[in-house]
Amino acid sequence: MVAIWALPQAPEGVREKRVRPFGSDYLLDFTDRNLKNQPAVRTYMMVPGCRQYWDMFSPNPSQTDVYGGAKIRFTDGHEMAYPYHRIWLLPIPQKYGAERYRKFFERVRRNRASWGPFTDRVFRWAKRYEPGREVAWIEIQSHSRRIPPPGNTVGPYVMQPIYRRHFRPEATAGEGG
Amino acid sequence: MGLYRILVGILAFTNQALLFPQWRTWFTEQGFVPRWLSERYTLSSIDLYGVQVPRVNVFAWSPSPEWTLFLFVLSLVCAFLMTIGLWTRWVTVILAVLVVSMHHRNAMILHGGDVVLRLSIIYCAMSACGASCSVDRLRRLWRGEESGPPPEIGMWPQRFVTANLAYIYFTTTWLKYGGTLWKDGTATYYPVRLSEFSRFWVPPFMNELPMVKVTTYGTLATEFAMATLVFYRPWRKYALTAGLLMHGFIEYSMNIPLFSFLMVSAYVCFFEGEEVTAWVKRWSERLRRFRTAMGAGAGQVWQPGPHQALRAMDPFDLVELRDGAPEPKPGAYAARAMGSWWWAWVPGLPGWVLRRALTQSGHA
Repeated sequence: MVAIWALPQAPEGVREKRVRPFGSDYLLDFTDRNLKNQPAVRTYMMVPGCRQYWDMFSPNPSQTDVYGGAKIRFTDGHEMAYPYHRIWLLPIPQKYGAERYRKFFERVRRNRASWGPFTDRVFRWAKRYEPGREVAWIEIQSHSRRIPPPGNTVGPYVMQPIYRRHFRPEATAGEGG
Repeated sequence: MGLYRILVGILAFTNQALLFPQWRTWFTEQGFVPRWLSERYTLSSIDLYGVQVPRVNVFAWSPSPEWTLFLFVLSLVCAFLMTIGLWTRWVTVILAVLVVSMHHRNAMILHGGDVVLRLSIIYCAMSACGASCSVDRLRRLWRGEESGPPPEIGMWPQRFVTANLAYIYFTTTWLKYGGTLWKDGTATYYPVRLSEFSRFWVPPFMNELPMVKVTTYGTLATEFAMATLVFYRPWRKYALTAGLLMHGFIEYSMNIPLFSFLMVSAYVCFFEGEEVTAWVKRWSERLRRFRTAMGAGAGQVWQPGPHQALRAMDPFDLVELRDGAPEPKPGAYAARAMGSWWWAWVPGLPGWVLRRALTQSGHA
């Protein structure tokens, strides 16, 4: 069952019945439809933690370099960056332990539900770090750059705001953000 | 499995120690992932024909930070005890429950290495991995409850580990086969350019296109060999060497904590107990110039149980324990008996252990 669970999914077209299966697609499509979704198999794999799936650097390795962060704006106009770990800037011994931050942010980018708790955590930090100031808003930011094919130069990072949460709406009224 | 248990125990302890400074950040309500988010990200229970079966998660028993901290400390203690092999069956089962719970409490921070660790601990918990290379065995020998070589145990957990490892390599090769970058030979060009993954300096020629092609196709060939040829004994050492080189390069150049170590630690399971014993015997012969004889002291003899336990800690057979004079030399024993290295650095302890192993002549 471990083997069944770890098999790759059938290609998207086959799963959506747009494309006729070819070769091993028949097996993958069969396991997707008839075995992985079996309640007994699913329970056996998911409850005690036996599930596994191996997609590291596959089908293609990531071609986007990403790091995360958050910006805090106080009601008095002061702004500061939340010190979310950026692996590239850390000394080598610290990189090992802090890798969880990179992995977490990779998932935060795609998981809308995690944005609220992320800003909650940053808010609590800001209250401790700047106890005399009121937080106006917190913005989760993603910095990314595309790695071009060999022979091309890597471009600069582009900042993309993911989510901005207002803590004192009246303080930022008329700001247009 | 005894050797595999030690390696997995060390890696589990290291993993928990690395996570320990961040336990509030990842596993409490004040952290980035409160319980409701975790339950939304990974289901807290599975529907089995209308019945909700809860997933193993002892963290869910209480949201208090004290409970989380207790479980963390407990996991560190269990990982240490698993490594040395004390109360092995119980501590591996408890550690498996704790690690599975941790993964169910917050799956948003997990990477491939965590999955390997979880499965490795589960396999250890299912096996008699404390039968050899463990404090449990030494205690049994010391008390006279066991004698001779380690008892023979079922091979199926060891076979499971090798099959699972081969399966990891097989499925990842299969998935990569569907990727365009692996087919055109440029896949390994990209990960080393991701600054968030970078670790030690990599020579520039490794990033030039001819070398990138070599490493890309070499990775696919190695992974496929680790899924297939590794089971054919004449080719096993070549497949394992290629795997070691591949994981060595990943570990050196990329920041993926413990992943390579965990994968490589399972390589020992491709060797059977008899092969390991024969290898130890060969090395014992090579190291014979370091052999020494150690007496029990005038009028003293070694007790049979402790004598066996002390010999079990000396896998290369470098210390011959003789009854009578001269006096025992704790330093000479500790330096040669590899199985005592983990405790023999404690001042006075080797001498105390050797004294406890002795009895007056005629009382043995």
